Amino acid sequence: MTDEQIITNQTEFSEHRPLFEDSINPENKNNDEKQRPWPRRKKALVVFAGVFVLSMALLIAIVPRKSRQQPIDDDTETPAVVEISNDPLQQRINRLKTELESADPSKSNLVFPLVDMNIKLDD
Amino acid sequence: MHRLLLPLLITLIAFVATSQNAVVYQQDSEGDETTVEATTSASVVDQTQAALEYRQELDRLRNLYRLQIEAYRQSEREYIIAKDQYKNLQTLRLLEDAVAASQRVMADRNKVLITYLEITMVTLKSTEGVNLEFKNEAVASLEEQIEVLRTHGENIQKSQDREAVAAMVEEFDSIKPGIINSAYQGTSLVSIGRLQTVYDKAQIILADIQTTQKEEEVSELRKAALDRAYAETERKLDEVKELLQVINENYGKQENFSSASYSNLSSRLEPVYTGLSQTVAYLDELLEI
Repeated sequence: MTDEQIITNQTEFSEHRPLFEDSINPENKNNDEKQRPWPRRKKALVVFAGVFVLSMALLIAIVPRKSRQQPIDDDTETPAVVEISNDPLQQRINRLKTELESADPSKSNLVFPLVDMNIKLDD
Repeated sequence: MHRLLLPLLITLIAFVATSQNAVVYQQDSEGDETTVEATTSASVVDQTQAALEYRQELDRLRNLYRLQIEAYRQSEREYIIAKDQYKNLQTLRLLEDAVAASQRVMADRNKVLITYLEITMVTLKSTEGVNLEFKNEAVASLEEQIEVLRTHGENIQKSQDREAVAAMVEEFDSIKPGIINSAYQGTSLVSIGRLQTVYDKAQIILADIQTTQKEEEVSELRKAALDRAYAETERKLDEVKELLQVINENYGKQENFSSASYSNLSSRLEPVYTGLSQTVAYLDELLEI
């Protein structure tokens, strides 16, 4: 069989060719990757990181600043959220609930300051 | 190309999902704020001018207190370091540093105590439901102690050497029991007064509910249920009243106030608080019957 015959008879050629074998020469493939400045995986990672950083920055901007503020200390009295009702009696009971909450004797907001009452230079 | 697009697509989906959550969260918190604002504004309408002034004064004092306690913590650290260094090395320069650090920490402690007593006094003045005689006595005692501390603060500023600082330590030891006594006397009354106020208001609300429901035409069955509910609520209120009477009587007999006596009072107020919680829950239910 001459070279010419091999080239022209493509059907027979494909039958002889092992299935799923990459036709690219491994040496050439390595050369190709070295020549490319940004390999695909790296490129994808950079894009992914970029989008992630952008989305985080947008998220931080969206979430209201107020909701992230922490109370300075426990002494601050925060009004309890009470369901709003049109009934004046219900409104009074709701206000009473809030008042009762702040009257809890186990949660006094007038705790004596934690200061050293025995400061002495000479012990 | 599809390898590049896949992570991009996943990121975009994640971003859209989190953004939506953030928007929902923002809307929720805005809703909550509206509820709080409405509740607060409703109560503000009811407040008298005096109560508003007390509120403003308390806010000012609390901010001042935070700054002063921060300054105290810093000078306390410096005092501990200076004292340790002098103890270990015993040089004249370190003695000077230790004297200065002691003077600073005593001055800062004094400021904290003055502001704390002022906060207690304004809180007591603004608390309804306190026996007027007890209140006036406690306010006078607090005013006296604030003055004592102011004088002590002036003396601290004048003390420059080791002997003068030692004299200030002695002076503070002599005024300390009075400060502690006044502070706990004030806080005890505030705790009693807050619960007494809730009791008084609960009683008025119960009477108003009874008046409103009497005007309505109700079936015999509902009337019987209401009568039973009123009786139970009144019984609970009577229990609270008795407990508060005993606590007020004991307070009148008490001469010395301290951390221990306050802790004892808190545990005696617990059943009052529980009883009032139950009463408020009953009042809530009464509107539904």
